[in-house]
Amino acid sequence: MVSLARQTLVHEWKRFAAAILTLAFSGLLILVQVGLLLGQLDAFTLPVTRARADLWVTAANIRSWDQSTIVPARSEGLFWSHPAIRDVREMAIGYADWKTGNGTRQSVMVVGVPLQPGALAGFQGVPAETLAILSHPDSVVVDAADMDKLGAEVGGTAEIAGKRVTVGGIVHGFRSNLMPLVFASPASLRQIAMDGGTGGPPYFLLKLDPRFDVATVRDQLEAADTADSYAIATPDELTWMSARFWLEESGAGTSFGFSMLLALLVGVGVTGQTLRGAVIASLKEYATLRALGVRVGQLRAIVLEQSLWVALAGNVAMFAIAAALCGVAWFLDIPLVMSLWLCAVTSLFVTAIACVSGLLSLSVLYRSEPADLLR
Amino acid sequence: MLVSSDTPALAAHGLFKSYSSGDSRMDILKGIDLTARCGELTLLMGPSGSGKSTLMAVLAGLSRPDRGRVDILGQPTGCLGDDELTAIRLRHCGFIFQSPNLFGALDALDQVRLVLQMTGTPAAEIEARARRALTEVGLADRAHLKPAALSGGEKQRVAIARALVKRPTLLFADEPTSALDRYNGDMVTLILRRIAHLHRAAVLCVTHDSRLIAHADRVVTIEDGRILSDERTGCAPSPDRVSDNAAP
Ligand SMILES: Nc1ncnc2c1ncn2[C@@H]1O[C@H](COP(=O)(O)OP(=O)(O)OP(=O)(O)O)[C@@H](O)[C@H]1O
Ligand SMILES: [Mg+2]
Repeated sequence: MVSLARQTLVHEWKRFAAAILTLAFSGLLILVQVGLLLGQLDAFTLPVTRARADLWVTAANIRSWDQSTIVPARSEGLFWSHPAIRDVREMAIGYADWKTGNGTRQSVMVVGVPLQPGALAGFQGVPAETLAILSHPDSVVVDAADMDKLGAEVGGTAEIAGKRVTVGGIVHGFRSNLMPLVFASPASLRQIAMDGGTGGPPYFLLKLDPRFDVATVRDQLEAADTADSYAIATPDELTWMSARFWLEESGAGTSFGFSMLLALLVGVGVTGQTLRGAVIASLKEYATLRALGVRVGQLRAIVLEQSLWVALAGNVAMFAIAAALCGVAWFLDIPLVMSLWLCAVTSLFVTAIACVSGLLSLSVLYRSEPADLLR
Repeated sequence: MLVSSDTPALAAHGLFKSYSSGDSRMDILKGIDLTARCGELTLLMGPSGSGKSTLMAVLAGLSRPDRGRVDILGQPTGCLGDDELTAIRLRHCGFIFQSPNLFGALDALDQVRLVLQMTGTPAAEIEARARRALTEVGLADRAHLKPAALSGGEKQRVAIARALVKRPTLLFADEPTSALDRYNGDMVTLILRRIAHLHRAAVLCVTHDSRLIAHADRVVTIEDGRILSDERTGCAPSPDRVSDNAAP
């Protein structure tokens, strides 16, 4: 089987290299942007995604997870009374100043990690030994990547809101993009935050009997709250809501949309021009085929096949470069999330650019008039 | 073929064609009658600009005459749509142009195979037929070479192989030897002659090269859009002795 499209691509690789690389970079622009964005979103919502709750109870009418203030303490009884509930645990965060002996000052978010044994104890990614450290009075744990920023060292001391604490250990993968996270036991956090009787914690974490449908339970618990004193969401819902808020607030959404458009235009521009050039370079050959009885539709198929080969090569180049960039990002501790669906969508995007370019270059084919060969 | 033996491969009557550029109109063909029979190599000669290529395009169904009719194997082509014309060319017509117009990416064998593949030849036959066509033009040992590695004459022979591989009843050639040296030109001419005589094709060849006359069965001279003379050459024994003069 002769594939004119494929053989031309191999034979004239220099001509197509520009288009292939442009496609690859159009895709990379999106892949890396979304990857960084997802990394940022993940960093922003770390406690939500890492806690072991099936449902989060927050203050009503919040737009981002970190805005929750108070859930009435009396609600806890109501949660327990639902047959699906296996465990209920308070959770709190607090904002405070961090100070070390060497003069570092830094705002931090202190996260109270549920320590009591049970289904809701600890965070995913925090090993049991580290949780054990937190049970020592006035011990805290910070992320390895934040150590420099906090001027901290393991075994050293620091002051949070004027209270002396010991940095008992480190965790990995908990570097937030808001401010450094400091993990403490709920008791330590209460001491630091000093707000004893405000009527309730900012969050309740709920663990459900797996036989119950999470969404149904959420609806029932929300319906039970006639005073509209709290809101309930799954971790996914809370993450998504916070992500949307963050995208709007930070303007990251707009800038992302803009660069996506840019990638599309540049991709179509360069790839379209290249495919067009390839068709123009072979016009006389195409015209000869037409003279011999080949239909224009068949030639169109060749041009489209060519754009698919270019798309394939562009995809391969894109993923090769993306893999290298992921390595660099991991090395530099930059949060970059490459999910499978992101790769699939970007791959589709790149293929679409190539196909649109191919379609645009079809118009040149009609210039291949066999009669023009007779002169 | 369901055509009686005395149906001409190609019959044209009263062909007129003009081009208009702006206000001025140029008459290129001014009433041409011509028939061509299978098994003959016919030369179309005449001064530059006399309308030879235009005539050939009209005869081959690549462009339409303003007036007049063209029958290919007895079938009138005037009433056919573009797709049907393409189908007629697919079944019956081969072309050789002044330049070989080969795809740079394909080797000689693939150039020929591509045509078979795109014109719906059963896959099992393609390879053997392509090789046979290349052998016929003396390029069996060059089958694996791309155009960049072929000489001008060899490229033109690949183009001929590509034209004859679908076994056309009508072969149109527009100055196929003008870019070649004497040796290669002769070789191409002999191949054309063999296609006419051996494969019983009607070969129509536009040329300025008077050396080709020695190999032709018939020479038609055109001047200023009209047929000036139509002669059979004595030297080439035509297998088809029926005389067919241009104007009935
Ligand atoms: N598409 C066109 N538009 C306008 N004029 C054309 C067109 N094609 C051909 N002509 C004119 O028609 C005339 C005959 O052209 P044609 O190509 O048939 O000549 P020819 O006999 O093949 O000449 P040559 O031996 O130089 O190839 C020329 O004067 C040319 O300028
Ligand atoms: Mg000409």
